[in-house]
Amino acid sequence: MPLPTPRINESENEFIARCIVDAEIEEEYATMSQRIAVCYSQLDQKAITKSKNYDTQKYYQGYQRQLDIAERQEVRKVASYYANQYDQAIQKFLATGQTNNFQGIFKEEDIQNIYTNIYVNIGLRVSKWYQSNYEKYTKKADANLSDNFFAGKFRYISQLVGAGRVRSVSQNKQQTLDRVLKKLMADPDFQSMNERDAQRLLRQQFKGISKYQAERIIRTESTLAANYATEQTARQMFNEQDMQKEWISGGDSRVRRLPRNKADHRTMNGKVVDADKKFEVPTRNGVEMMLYPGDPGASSFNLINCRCTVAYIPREDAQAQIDIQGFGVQDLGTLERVGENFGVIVNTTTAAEEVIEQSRVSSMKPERMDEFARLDHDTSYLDLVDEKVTINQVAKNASCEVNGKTINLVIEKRDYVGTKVFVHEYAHAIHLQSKLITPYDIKSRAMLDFVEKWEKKFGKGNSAKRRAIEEELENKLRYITFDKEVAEEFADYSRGEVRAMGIATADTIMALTGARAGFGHTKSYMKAIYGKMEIFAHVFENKYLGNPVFKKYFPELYDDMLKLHDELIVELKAIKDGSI
Amino acid sequence: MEVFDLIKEYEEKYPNEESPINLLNSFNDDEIIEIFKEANGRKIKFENSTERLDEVQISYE
Repeated sequence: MPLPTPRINESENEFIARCIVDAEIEEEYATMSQRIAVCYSQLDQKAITKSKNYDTQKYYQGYQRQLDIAERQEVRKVASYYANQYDQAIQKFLATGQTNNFQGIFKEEDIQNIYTNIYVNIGLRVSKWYQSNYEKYTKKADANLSDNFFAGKFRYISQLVGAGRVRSVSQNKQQTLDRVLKKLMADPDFQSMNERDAQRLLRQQFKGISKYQAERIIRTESTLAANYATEQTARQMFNEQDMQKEWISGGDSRVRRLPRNKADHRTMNGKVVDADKKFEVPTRNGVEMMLYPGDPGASSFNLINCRCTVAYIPREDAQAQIDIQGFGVQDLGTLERVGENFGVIVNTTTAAEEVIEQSRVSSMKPERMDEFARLDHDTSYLDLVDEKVTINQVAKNASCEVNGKTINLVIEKRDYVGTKVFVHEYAHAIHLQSKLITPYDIKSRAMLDFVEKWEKKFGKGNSAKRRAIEEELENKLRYITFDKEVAEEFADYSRGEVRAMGIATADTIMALTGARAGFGHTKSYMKAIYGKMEIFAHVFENKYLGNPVFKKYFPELYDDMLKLHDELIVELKAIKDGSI
Repeated sequence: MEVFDLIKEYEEKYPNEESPINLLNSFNDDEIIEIFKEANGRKIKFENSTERLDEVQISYE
């Protein structure tokens, strides 16, 4: 265990008082005078670098600048969407005179997309800013810190947040329409207007409403989006035990405080805790523990309109030769837009893998997972089960018990193939435990729609055209699975890995063609409901590990599977909420 | 011989039977070669289990 070091903003007295009773110090140094001397030496060493390493004001200014830019961009986009939809409603109203016939104008999937865009775009900007200030100083940063990797994390949190809110946001828009239009209908001046003037007035009113509502949704979500992004980025760059975090409040009269408000963020300003600890936030009812400002687990009075932020600060012994005096002044230049797919396979070093493992501890991570699978991918899917999955080692033929509680795995190389098998069987555990798809029932509308769409694309019936499509498919699938040319094309992967990617592609297509093309499972199995379960498992492989062979040779299907994943996540959440 | 060659040979010999290419999701190359050895020219019968997803039961006739 390392000797204690001062925390950011910890006074000299506070540090010495803590240091001399530290277990490590007490064990190593027999007398109090020795302990005091050692503690003072620790203090001196730290004090020099502390002032150079971190400047709260600069951090906050830099953070706020990026957040302002990102918020403005999102407000513009959301306001434009709202205005367009309201415009459609206005046309409908003027045509029918009805004030409550606006079903389908503010679709829940569109609102969910708004949530996704807010979290991904704001998250990526803040993440890049944080990285740009730290990455050049640390050797811990690795190739995993890609846009796609983080986009996946941010998309995931947006779905969790959105699942509980999109319906009410959509309903709120319908209510707004109803309220405003009814009010105008009762207004004699409005009644006497001709259609063109009425349309102009309505557009003007709803333009203002759109902007106000866009600002409100962005303001509500941006604190969590930005602080979650900071936390996730810091965790990827540094070991958790090497970091502390500081709560930073806005510093103006608007910051909530007791007794005026239900919680006190003014006294939180400057509070520092170790990164793995929670902040103790004073409230009227006592103390509430929060991971960071915007922590979704906190009470609404701690969240709504909160503008506070969190700074994750690596200890100086975790950042050798670091000088971050310029923190906050790094400019990002043009921020690239987010790609749709975040399933990336990155060849990382073992050290990098360890960093990721340590930083992402899921309580649902199965015992012994490390023996079967690599950990350098987004493992957030581990949380999608209710009961921890047990791994049972078998000599051959990996499988998943139909109760979804046990997966049987073969110890293979912990490469793409071994990890792919793990993700595949774990995905089966997810749909079985949640009962979204079981051998007896399928509750997933998204899966049924997906299968219907692709069955049509691959051709139903018994026509010569359909048979020709299937023959072509079969040849293509055998080519991508077995041909050396394809293996050479994907030179970053072993031949076995490319083969596994081809088999997964062929297996998916087998399920979508009623087993008339493709291969991987028995025909009778794939024609039955089991085919849908296999698609589910391949969706998760593509999403969390990626399959470049599949993506290259069947890009449209691949992209559609990634979209299906997002819909499945929402359905899984709905099952948990009891709404399915 | 590689797995794909063995599969093609089998498909030519038993054109109306289900192809062992459908074992690929459950077994690796070495394991499939072993199955061909055990079959020793006989038909390979295989069926996916309904108790464990992805498990295949093999028999020969």
